[in-house]
Amino acid sequence: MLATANQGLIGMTGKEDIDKKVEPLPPEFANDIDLQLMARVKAGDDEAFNQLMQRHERTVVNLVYRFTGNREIAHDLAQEVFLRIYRASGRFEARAKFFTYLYKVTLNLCRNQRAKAQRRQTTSLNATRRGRGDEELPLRELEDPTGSAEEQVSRLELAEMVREAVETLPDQQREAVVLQRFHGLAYEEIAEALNLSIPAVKSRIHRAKLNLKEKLVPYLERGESVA
Amino acid sequence: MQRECEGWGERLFEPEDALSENERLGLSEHLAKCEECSTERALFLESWSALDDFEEDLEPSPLLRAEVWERIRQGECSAPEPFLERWTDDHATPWQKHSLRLAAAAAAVFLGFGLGRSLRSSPTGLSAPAIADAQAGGVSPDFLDPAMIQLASQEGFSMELFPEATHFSPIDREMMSALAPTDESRQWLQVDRGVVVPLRYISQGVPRKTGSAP
Repeated sequence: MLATANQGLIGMTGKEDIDKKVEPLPPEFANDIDLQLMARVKAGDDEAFNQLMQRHERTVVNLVYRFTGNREIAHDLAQEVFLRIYRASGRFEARAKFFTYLYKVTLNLCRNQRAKAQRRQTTSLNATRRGRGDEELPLRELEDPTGSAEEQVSRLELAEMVREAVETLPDQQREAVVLQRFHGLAYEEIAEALNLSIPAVKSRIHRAKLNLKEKLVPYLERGESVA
Repeated sequence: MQRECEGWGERLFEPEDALSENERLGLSEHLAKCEECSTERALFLESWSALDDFEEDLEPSPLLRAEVWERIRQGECSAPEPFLERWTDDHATPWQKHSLRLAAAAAAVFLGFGLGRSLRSSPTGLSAPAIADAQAGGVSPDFLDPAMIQLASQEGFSMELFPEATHFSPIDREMMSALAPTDESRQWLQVDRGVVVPLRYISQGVPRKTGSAP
């Protein structure tokens, strides 16, 4: 579908003209689809940017959400991420994988947002989940609707505990553990995204795991004894 | 025993799938002998798997990309150059360039204000003066609206170039629901974009309109 749309657009903008302007990628990144698209964006292909957004919007929205715990901010910051990438596309150089760049932009914006929120002394960490109209949203639907009411309540409590445990981790630990646990990045990739050495990443994630265990075990043990 | 425990170090707190086969076997043997490590590992795995409850995957707003394009269009982003500039630099003479800029400006005003307002009461037709204005503006195939492209591509349509199209065609209800299937996106299309698309956006799967505007 996109290919068809793209063909139409390229027809309009002059495929040959864009092709001429596209800078070749370094051999090690020649097969990176995202970098190929970025090279086209840099050459003036807006549809390539549209495809980039389509490929990564879910990742960006969820990454922001896991840092902020706020749907509204997730949507707004995701827009900001893509605007920044578009704005900087003229200067983009393929020196690393695209996701590294994407995560860096996203994390920087999240850090700025958190710093602002802390300055305003907001209580975003404990905020309930609210929608656009500030209405309180229901907690995530349970995957197993057959459980007893007690079990369901217990699982909802656990979900809330987990969210709070992650959100109250120190920033550095949370960034690393979110990238690993929820976005499936390897240590090397996290190190690139966070500008850290691999041992430093391992250390942060290890501390995050210990912290999470400390925060969650009392609740998990209580759950077992009740059961 | 103490030294052996230290040997496992951080790997005691790795999920199963992060360990190699050898590590898994070795750790398993160690845990069978060491109750303390076994308890620690069980607690870690339990808390790690509890994170599944934070796995909720947010669905991006269907308007996210369109809103990014809208902000780009409004000038929040100055680079890369707008499409019209890029295209005309490569293809048009100075006189054509000037005409195209005028046409695009007329089209933007036409789309953004006049039509959006007038068509809300009459979504299937354009007033004769509005059509005349559009035609007088010489709106050409070079006019490009990224937000419209976004909407069209999102809905699975291809966009085609109609070199002969120099005017707008009113969008009808069928095309409206094809381009903007939800109430929210339809409202956005009507209010913010005007209920009109250039002929070349007419897409596969939707009856193609050709010829002059009614």
